[in-house]
Amino acid sequence: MPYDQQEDTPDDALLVLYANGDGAAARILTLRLTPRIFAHAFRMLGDRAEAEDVAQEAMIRLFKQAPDWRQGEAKVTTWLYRVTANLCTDRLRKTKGVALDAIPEPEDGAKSAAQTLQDRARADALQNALATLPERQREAVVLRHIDGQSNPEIAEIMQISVEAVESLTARGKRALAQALSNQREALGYTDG
Amino acid sequence: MLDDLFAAARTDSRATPSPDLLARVLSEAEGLQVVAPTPDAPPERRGLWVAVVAAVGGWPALGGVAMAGVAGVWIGVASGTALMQDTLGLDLYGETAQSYLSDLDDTYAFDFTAEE
Repeated sequence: MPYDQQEDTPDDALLVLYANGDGAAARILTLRLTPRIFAHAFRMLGDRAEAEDVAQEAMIRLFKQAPDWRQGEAKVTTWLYRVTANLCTDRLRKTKGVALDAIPEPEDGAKSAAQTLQDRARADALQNALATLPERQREAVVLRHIDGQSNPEIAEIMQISVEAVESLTARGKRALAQALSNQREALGYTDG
Repeated sequence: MLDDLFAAARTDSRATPSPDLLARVLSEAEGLQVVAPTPDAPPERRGLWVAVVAAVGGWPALGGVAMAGVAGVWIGVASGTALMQDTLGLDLYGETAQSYLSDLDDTYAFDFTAEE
């Protein structure tokens, strides 16, 4: 199948193509899914190097799973988020603490230096606040409010009920608001 | 404020994978991928003539048969009528007189008078 026709192909169909030796499917799956799980791992771990290791390992597991993948049974992203979350949990239990200061800031020429600094400060503040949440709350909040997953999808990823997801995200947001309440002015929020 | 921070997090460039990571993942993907097997070559279609030639032993054997046939014709032509018995050969070879097989042997003739 030509590369441009596969851009809209569902993940599970691409996985079957990949298992059948289709080189284009390998490229599309890599470029489509790696950014999503890397971002999720980064928000969970707060460390690019760790997140890269997790994303690479999760993708390898997906590719190994491809020959046995049963189309229509589970969403590829659900399976992948679950694997990524488990890998993140393992890492968090081994290495406590998040060294945000060690994260290099990529150059962004489109923004002013002041804007870049403020964005960095806000992202760091959120990341630090996320790091204070219990793992399950953090995972639910990241999946819902940053990764943009629906509650039923999160329930499947975390293997809990939708009500439990709603409870986790609600408590997580309250805890985040509390953790950030004393930084409003520092982060440039002066009203409301 | 939280929603704003979430939106900022979604565009945080640090949450974007490096090209190096993408290259490593793709390399792993290609390394783990089973190369698609090339389809088996379709069986060669053999025509009837090819099958006949093969059945008699191939082209060398067929050449021998052809040579024997040519030799037989040559012997027949070169020996003229000497090998033919009686006068049948002369009659068949002759161009001046019409020959009828029935003249030579009654068994070649239709017997219209015979009762059914």
